[in-house]
Amino acid sequence: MGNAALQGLRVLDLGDFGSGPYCARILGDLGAEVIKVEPPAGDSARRIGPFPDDVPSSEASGLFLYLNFNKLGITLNRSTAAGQRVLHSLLAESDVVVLNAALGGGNKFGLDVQELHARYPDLVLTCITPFGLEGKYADNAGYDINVSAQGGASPLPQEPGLEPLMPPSIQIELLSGLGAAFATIVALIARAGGGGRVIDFAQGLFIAAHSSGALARRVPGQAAPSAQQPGGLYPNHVLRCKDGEVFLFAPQKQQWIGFVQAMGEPEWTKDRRFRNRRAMNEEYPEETDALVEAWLTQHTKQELLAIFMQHRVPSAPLLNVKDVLESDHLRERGFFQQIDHPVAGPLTYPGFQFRMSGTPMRVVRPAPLLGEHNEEILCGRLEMSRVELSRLRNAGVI
Amino acid sequence: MEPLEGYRIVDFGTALVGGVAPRMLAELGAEVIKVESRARLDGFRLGRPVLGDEATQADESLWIELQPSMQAAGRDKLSVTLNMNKPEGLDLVKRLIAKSDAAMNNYSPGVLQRRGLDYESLRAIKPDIIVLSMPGAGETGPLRDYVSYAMTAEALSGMGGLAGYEDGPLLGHLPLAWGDVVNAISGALAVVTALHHRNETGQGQSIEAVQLEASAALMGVPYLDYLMNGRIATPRGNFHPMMAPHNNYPTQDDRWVAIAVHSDDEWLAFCQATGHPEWHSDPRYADLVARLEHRDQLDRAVSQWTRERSSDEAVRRLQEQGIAATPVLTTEDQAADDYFFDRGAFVDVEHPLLGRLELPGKTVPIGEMPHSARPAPMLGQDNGYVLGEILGLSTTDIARLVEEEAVY
Repeated sequence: MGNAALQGLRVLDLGDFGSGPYCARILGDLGAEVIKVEPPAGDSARRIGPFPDDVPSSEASGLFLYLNFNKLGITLNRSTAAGQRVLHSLLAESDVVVLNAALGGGNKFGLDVQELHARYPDLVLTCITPFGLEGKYADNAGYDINVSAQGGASPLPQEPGLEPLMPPSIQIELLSGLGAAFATIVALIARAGGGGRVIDFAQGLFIAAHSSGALARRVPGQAAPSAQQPGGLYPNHVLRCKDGEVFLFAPQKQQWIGFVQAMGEPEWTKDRRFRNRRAMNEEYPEETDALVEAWLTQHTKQELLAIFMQHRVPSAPLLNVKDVLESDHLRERGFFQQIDHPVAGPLTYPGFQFRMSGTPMRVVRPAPLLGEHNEEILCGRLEMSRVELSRLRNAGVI
Repeated sequence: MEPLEGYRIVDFGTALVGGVAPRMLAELGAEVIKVESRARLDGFRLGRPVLGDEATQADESLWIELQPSMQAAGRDKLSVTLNMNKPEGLDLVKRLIAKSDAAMNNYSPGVLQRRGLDYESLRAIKPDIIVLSMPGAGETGPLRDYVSYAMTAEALSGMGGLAGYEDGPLLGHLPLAWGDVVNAISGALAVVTALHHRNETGQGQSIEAVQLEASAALMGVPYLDYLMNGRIATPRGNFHPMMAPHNNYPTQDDRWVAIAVHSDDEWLAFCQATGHPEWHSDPRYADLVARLEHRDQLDRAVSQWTRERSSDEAVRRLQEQGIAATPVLTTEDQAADDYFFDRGAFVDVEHPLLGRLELPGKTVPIGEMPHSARPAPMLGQDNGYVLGEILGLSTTDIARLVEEEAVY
């Protein structure tokens, strides 16, 4: 086992809820020492589930546990003078600070970022906001659904009566955290030659910059064709199978041939009408769906996994969380990891985004209890006396 | 100076994942050399022409330059044509890697080994090389041969099954080829992390960023909900457990506005901004729990308000009171707003065949802004630079290699 990639790097996580904490956790996964600073009431993720047996507990929020393992945790009331002193002692020792707006806090961190940059010129300040620290939308309020709307991740619905949908399950926050981690490492590489930086990570812009070829394809004055229907060929949609649903997709000619073979080349596929995939998609999709579904509904999701793989078809059953957690493939690959937590107990968490041969990522510790490392950090690291510590505690600073 | 200036990346990537991961380094100043060949072209160069005027499209040999997806994924890169089916072509690839910092690919399992381009072989050529592979399902495991696109990874991670309406159609996939974007950013993150580590220690390494696992890594919340409560997550539309109203609402001008109300203070401000103080005293909407319970009625009431005004007016009136309200934008809407260009998320480039193009720009705000971007390279446009200047071949040698289709 080699060393961790970011060994020796010190990160201060001043984030809340989603994107900032996830960004900081990734840096922790890569071996940085991450200190999470929470207000005395705790990160707002602690109040959001899932909770074991649906019983709310600030120490057992699944959202919080998932976004905050590999971190030490302290509490700090940043609005007090004593809290500010502790914060600055920590900033002076950090390489990176991660900030995002508190849930409901808009773009405001309660910190002047440019002032911090001037005071700590070697510090990388990763600032995640919906619409940027600067620019004409900087002062606008926004949550994930607003970021998704501005970034183009809520495409117009294909059917009347439906509203545009944002991506599910806090994906906007997580993708932002991932992108901000990338930006942070790049800034660390650049720091070797010229000091820290303020990273003005605007979530809406980040999503918009991933709009792929849709922008280039656009002919000014004409509506942009949907990026989700390349070529408009059949199939590119959901149908039922025996025990669930399947996303059907076979963009290349060879893949559709594979699909037809997977179905056992039934008679209807020899009909000229069912060799024109554009017409199948545009002119008689229901008729085609009925024929395909007649075959699909004879097979389970597990059977279809094997069949599609064998015939090299990129279609796939829409697995649910139970299917995924029981997946032979991910288990055999050792993807999931067990993490034991003093309150929530042992649970299975998803693994990391990637695997590095020389600097493997590891779980070093579960998410911190509220203020778990106050004494370790303040007395150990900052060499504060125990008397001082209890004074801060009594004054509600920690 | 751009932050990744001076780093050289060999890019074997194809399509969106393979293209975008190295592009994220190119747009920050790395010299990314796309290795390609007429022997087997990137799928993003194939298909009927989309860009260009009639005269350009009439020349079939130019079709490989006329794909918008190639422009987006190939921006800011160089192109060299090396035919790895020829021993000399493969040898040139190895010589190029010997002069590079990292090599990135999204090949299927086994392809690198067959070509002798796996990490162990490359390490013999360049001891501190960084090799990133981005296979669909991984180099090992029962699904390793699964052909994977964005929606495949979304489906197999459980993410795709959550994309849909609460009591309506199941979409089964996310926008923007999410499963690809997640994988590409993960790959880019892995490579810069390895570069940082190499700068500190002198050690290279190999990295596997699996498309399926990149998506599954973002599914912690629904996985934990199953483990904690046995709950199998289902699509929730635009439902949010901590906010109501929270949806996209239709406006008079046939657009949509995203509105989200979180705290009780915001709810009060919302009722005032919409001129509906009676909503605030309505017991159905008394607090978050009540508003969530009656969210269908609440959504209808809010829709009625938004339908009576333009998207701009609705957004302005709500934002004035500090309420999160944003128009739902299409690519077309975004392109009409200078904001995206001023902040570098979109860029103007000048293409030698196509003239001015608008392309997705810098994904993260590091380095010079606005960004001076280049269009995707024409096939083999940098052969002279790569073979002559980097590898030091003479023009006679290059001509011979072209003749023998090692450079092809």
